[in-house]
Amino acid sequence: MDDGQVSMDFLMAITIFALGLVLLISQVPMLFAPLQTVSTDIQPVAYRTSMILVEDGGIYNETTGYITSNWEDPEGTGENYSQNCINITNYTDNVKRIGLAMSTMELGWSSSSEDIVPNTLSVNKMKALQDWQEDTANQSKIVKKLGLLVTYNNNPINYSYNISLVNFSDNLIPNSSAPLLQIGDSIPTSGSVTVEKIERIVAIDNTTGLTGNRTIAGHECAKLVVYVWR
Amino acid sequence: MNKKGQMHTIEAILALMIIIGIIAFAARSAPQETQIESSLDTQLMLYGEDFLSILDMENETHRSRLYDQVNGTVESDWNGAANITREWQNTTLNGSGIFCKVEIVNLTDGQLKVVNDTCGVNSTYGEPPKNAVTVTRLVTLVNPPRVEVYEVRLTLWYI
Repeated sequence: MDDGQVSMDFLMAITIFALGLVLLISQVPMLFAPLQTVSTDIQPVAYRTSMILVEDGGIYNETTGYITSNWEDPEGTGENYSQNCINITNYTDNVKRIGLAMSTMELGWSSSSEDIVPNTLSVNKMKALQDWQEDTANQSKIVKKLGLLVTYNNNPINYSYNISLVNFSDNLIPNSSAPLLQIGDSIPTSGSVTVEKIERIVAIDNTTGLTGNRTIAGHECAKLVVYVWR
Repeated sequence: MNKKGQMHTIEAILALMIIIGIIAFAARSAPQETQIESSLDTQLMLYGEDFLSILDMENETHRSRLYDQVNGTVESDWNGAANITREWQNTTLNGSGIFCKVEIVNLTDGQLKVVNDTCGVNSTYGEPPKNAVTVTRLVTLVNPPRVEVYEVRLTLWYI
């Protein structure tokens, strides 16, 4: 029976046409952007994370209403992260946002119109963040404080991150034998993953005991490197 | 009509779907390497803004290194642009192929007069290409009774 048949030429032609159509549609910029949140949004997320860390001092807010940017030492007692966890109720929950910019109080000036000094990182804040990273009980809270755990269309989106302080030769700046700041996940080396990298030039408020930094305009400087991926 | 070399319609559609399906599957499952990306324009802009921000950091005299360079250029025979370029070289980012040009522009009274730039100092690298990124910072010089506004333009580019 010869009815209901199609020629091989037609089959080849329609195959080429279909492939051409698929290729053409895929080349239209942003056509599938709403479906590709993973590939399109990590660059601004990495940018935002670097801004929060470098240009903001963070927020510590108690239920009593007390609020300060000195989240690493909210009571001004000079205690470190571990001591704050013991002495302050809900210390890690009271930290609403992590920022690393130095407080103007450290300058010792009689008055200042600003709360923090952008682009100057506080060593004490970096040490507190590094200690927090090593606190396995509370480590998982960091991602939210960095704004890297968000809700989109009622679905939680959890970004992976790696943040470190390096010198201009890309070597980690040490604090005694350990890095001063190296937190987050291991940067993936295989698989279909796009990792966004942002580098910021930062001054460091107190370089006593630190090596590898360079002087720019009289300030000891290094690079804060932020990697973000999903 | 020659009926040889033909197939049934349903078979043809099935064959077509299988062909497209295999191609789509192969394209999706092809091994891809991890890519570490950095938007060049954004990164250059951030380098520039961070650098100028550090230069413009207020000191105990409530002035900044950037202010002093502009003031020195205007008030005396001082090459502020060359000094700022030397500070940039302290970052060693020029070793990564990032070069800069600095201009100090007088904006007062509607003028756009380049007071000082680093063409001579940085002539090895020539003029910046079209895809260079320029970041700026305003510096207001207060030398009573004169108040003048200058713009420090830092142009960065990759080689």
